[in-house]
Amino acid sequence: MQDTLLLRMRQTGMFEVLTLVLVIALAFLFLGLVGVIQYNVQMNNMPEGLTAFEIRESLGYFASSRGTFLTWGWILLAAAAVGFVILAIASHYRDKVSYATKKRLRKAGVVLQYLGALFIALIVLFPIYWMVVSSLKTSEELLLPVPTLWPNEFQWQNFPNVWKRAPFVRYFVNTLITTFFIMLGELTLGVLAAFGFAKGNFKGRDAMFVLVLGALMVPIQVTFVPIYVMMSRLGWINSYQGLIVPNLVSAYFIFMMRQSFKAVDDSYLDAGRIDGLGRIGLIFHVLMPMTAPTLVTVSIITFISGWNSYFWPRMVSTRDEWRTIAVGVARLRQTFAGMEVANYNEIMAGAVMAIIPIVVLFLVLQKYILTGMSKAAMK
Amino acid sequence: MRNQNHLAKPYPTKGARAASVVLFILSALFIAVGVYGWLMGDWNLESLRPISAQVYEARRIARSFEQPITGTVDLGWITVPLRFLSGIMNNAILIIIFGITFLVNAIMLRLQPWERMKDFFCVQPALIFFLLFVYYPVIDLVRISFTDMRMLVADPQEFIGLKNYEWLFFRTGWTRFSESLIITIRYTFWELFITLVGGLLLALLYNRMNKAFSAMRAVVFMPRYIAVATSAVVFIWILHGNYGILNYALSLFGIRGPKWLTQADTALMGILILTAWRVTGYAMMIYLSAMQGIPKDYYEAAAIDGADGVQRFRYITLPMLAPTTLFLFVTTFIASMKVFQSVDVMTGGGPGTATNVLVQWIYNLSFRDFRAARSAAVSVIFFIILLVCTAATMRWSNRSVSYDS
Repeated sequence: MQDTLLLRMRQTGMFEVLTLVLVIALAFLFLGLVGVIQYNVQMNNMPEGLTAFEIRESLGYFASSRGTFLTWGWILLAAAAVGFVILAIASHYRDKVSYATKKRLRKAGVVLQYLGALFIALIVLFPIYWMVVSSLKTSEELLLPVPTLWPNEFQWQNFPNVWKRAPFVRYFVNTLITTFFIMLGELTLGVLAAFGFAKGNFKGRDAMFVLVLGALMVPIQVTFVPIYVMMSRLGWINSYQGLIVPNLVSAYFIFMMRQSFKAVDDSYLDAGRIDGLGRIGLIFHVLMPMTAPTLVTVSIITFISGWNSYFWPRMVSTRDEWRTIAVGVARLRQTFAGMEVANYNEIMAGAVMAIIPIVVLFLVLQKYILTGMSKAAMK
Repeated sequence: MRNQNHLAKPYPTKGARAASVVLFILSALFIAVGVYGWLMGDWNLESLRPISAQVYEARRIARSFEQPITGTVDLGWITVPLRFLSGIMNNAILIIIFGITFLVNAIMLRLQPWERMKDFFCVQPALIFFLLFVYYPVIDLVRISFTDMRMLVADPQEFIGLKNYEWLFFRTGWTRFSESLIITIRYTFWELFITLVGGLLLALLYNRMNKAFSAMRAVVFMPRYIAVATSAVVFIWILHGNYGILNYALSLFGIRGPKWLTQADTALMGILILTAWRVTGYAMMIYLSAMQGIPKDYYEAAAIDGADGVQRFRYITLPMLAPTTLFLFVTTFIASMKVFQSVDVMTGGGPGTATNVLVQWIYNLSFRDFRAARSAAVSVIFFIILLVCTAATMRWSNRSVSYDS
């Protein structure tokens, strides 16, 4: 009888999962054992008169992390054992439960799925909730030993206070202007280039497109030093040109638009040409309407990433009045010179103001963002 | 009448020939001037000669972080275009790029008729941009890494050969570099783990198509579009050692939480908490949209064969998601090697060097320690690492499975 139970267990998919957990647990326990051995060997050979810190520093990797390995090994082993027991019981009763019970179990599973999904959604939402709530508290309330989940009294003055502390109007204006011009540049130059690469016909077109693909490989995190030098020689540090121009064309945008322009059949373009459209006319009256969903999506993503960009604005704006909103909020803590703990209400107020436009935009345009994203993944 | 080519105008036409000759001459002029300026230092509008060592010295003394010293006579608004021109002249590379543009156009003019040239003009602005802001910086990065440049302004620089690389590989730089690389790899490993495993689990949990679930999906997905810098500020407050809500929540279970970001052994974990909050929703959406693409017949066939839920997942869903997993793996890998924003805002590479990821180190080298040349050397190595990793994953992905299109 023992044998048939094992057989029945092995037919379920859970068996494989539990075996995997068991193997991982054993591997962790083995690593922990290696760590214990290494620890003992090293402790025996340790010279006299070392402080605890020095001893800890001189231990090898396995020796110093033996505790973690052993703990996780035991936890996983216990989980596997419990799982096998449950599986044995379940597979024993599997064929004996009635149809009604199965149905009820399935319903319970659905309820569990709802609860789990709701729980995780609440956890993900919590930081945003906490930011808003903290921005409405007094300094004293922030530092209570037992945090309050709802402010005792709404402190709306935190918002004007932080507005006074940092040039937030300036931040917003900078971000808006920068994002607008980046979008303008990426759209016009990007659509033109995408048209040239997708529908144009000139010598060396594909070789030149490799240049665009290559640009995808070179991140600004690598090349910021020479670009910064160039900007400083142009005298563009702390200026709109400096914020905008290095982001004016995006290889990603060109790539995406070229893909969708390629999908448009040439006969549409021929029809347009017969009606007397030039290149600009073809782009405006044929290609752009036909690829509107992609265009809208990519523009939204461009806008959001422009609004959120941090790396380059942080380099190029050394003065407060040239910061964008993301950089400004991140630097807000420094204005409180060591006193920021008591002032997190104001910092959070700044953060709330910074993310409101993006959250609103996301909620309104969610559908476009989602379709665009799954398209990007299909490529 | 089979060949009508003789009826068309011979190409290149006379006009195109003349134009291309003019362009050739212009390009030779520009490139010569530019290369001379690039090698000698830079052109300066006032003197129309390469900037001498004294001017460099004056600049260094003035320590102009923001503006190069140009005209000292204040002429009001007239100086605005003048300063612009002078700024352009200060960058020999701009002149060289103009020259290259003329040269390419001259060649293209001889190769093809005007109609096709118009197509070429469409892509030209973008190409010039990439030359200026992507390809030239790579070359200049290598050049800077061979000099002793300190600050990120026109500074007197001397060619010092491989000294920066020597520092990086055989002197004090090596400990910092290897440490930094290991931290980056640790971060990358955990981000990949969170993205792939967490995203897949969430996709299974949220795989139900109705209004309530799509609303919850939107909530889980939203963090990706909130600025990293701003959410990092929020998480600093949540992870605060004494007053943070996370440690309070842990204390309810009797766990004494660490001082997350100000403690060397948990700082990286603190940053990873923010990362998990940001990326899992995105991975979930990608996985979900791929799951929707799996044909239902497969599941029905498996159900007839008596496969239970876990087996259907193991033998149908998981293999069918392999291309998606690969996509997520490659993109997440490249993005997480470049992690900077969250680290910069949350810890600034600290405490000590506990979270000093590569980009943060490069940034600190050039903007805090004023060793631009050294940071350029590190950037070159970092770039090579990135390229090799990308190429390796691409090759590997080409060889690996994809079941159908």
